[in-house]
Amino acid sequence: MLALQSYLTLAAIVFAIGVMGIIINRKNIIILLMCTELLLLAVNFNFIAFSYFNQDITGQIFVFFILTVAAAEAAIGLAILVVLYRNKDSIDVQELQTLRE
Amino acid sequence: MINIIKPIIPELTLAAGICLMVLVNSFIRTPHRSTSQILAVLTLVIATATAVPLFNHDVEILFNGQFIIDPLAIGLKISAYVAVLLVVLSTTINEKINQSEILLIELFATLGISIICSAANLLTIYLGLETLALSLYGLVAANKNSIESTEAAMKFFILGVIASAIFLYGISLIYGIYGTLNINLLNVMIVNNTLELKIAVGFILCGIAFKFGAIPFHSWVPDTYQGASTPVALFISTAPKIAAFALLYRLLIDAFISISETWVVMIYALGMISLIIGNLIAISQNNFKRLLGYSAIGHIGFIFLGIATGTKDGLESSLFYLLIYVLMTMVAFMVIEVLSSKHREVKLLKDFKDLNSSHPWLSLIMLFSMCSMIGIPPFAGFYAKWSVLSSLVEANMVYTAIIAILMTVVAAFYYLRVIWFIYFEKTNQEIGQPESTILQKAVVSFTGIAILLIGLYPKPILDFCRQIISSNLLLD
Repeated sequence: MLALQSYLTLAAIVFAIGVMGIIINRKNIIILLMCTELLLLAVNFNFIAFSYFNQDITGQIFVFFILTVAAAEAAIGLAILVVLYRNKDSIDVQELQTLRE
Repeated sequence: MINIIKPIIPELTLAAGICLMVLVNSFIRTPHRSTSQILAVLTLVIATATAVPLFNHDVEILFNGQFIIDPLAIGLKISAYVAVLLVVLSTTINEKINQSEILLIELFATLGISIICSAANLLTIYLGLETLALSLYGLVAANKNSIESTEAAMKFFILGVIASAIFLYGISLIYGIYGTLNINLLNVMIVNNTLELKIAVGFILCGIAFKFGAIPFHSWVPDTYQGASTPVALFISTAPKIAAFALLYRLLIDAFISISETWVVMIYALGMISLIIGNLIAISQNNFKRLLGYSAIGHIGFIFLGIATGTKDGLESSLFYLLIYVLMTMVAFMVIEVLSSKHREVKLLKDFKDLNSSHPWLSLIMLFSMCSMIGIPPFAGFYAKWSVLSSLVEANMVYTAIIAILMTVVAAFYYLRVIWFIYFEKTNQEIGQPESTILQKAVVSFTGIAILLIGLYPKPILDFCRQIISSNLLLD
């Protein structure tokens, strides 16, 4: 049986990968969306680990809510992406510069 | 049964109104576009009317500790409903952007706001927050043929998702440390002020700062204000700020007041940076909506400084400042909305040149709003600034107060520039006759005059803030 620390470290690493992916990535918006999913999954890891080791069911219920919200969020993100592609003919991160003056 | 339903009637009204609007929008085609506006107004009026009697209701916790009814929740709900009502009334109904959908999504966002105001559990807070955030992403992207607005929506979406993930990470650490998500239990439990707890509170604070738009989580504010269509920018700049205050109060005051020395420093730093950098960047802006975005960041700095005093007076004055700020910025956006027509949108500062000769009354209202934002005495903004500054001085933060005053002087420069353009610049380009209705003009006049009246007699609003805060405060 692994200790709580192992799970928390894994979650922290996944979260860090998500954040780094968003910061470093300069090419594609879809990769940004994938990284945001990664962030939420890292949080889910944390909740499940705490829920198991605290012997408390609340954390697992929270995970279901996060999964639902993540699905809704992905749907809206992709919808915005489609509209953006229609207007710009590109989903390149570096071309998102119309608003800077 | 009736006892459970009575405290949540405002939310139920909103939900019912939303369902009705979805049905009406899908069955009735173009002839009566104002139908959805009438429905939205009715829903909000009923929601406000049912919320007002609850203001003196006893504190009550419903649904197994998920939902709380107290003066803070009801007071902020009423302010948010009134703000949204004014926004809906001043929204132009035209065919270019599908306005009925905007009104519908605004009601969804209002439901999210009122859930945040009443949340007594971190799970409920998260769900309310996401209801609000997801609606806002949709609202910003509503003008779907414009490159600017879709780009702003994409940026807002990415940043919003990161912020809510960081916020959630903080919540998960809190859950691990305390073993519960109930705010009232978090408050009474005694834990050591360890590094983990500090990190968790810091992460949660990131989420709150993003909702307010404080630096360094500000970059969505100018982009969305500039990119979104005016009625949407009008909405985003007002009601969600009230929700952000509720979020801050529930988490920092209700839940983590026992470790206040940890977060007071962070709030202070955020407030200071926002105040200085927000006002300095605003000087160089030529787009009026973007300028309002940076000025919003400066005002948020003021609000955070009031909270950072850590006293009851500071909180009251912050809330007062927030309500007045919502009113002032609402007037500024309403004037743009009224001046814009289907063919041309008033955006840049130079579009305001010589506004006085074609629209003297609207120019006067704009003058009220700008003077109030600077903090010139007869207007409401003066009392807001004065109450925050006096609570700073009372908390022995004199140097902070001096810096805040200096920044007000800096801010005066760019607000006065707007007034200069309106009254003293000459131009050949005529601002066309706007297509706004009498109703819109009446709403703008009403809110504009309200700035002056509250400035002359601020006591009712101050008392309102005092009642909201003092009734359940555990500070000191």
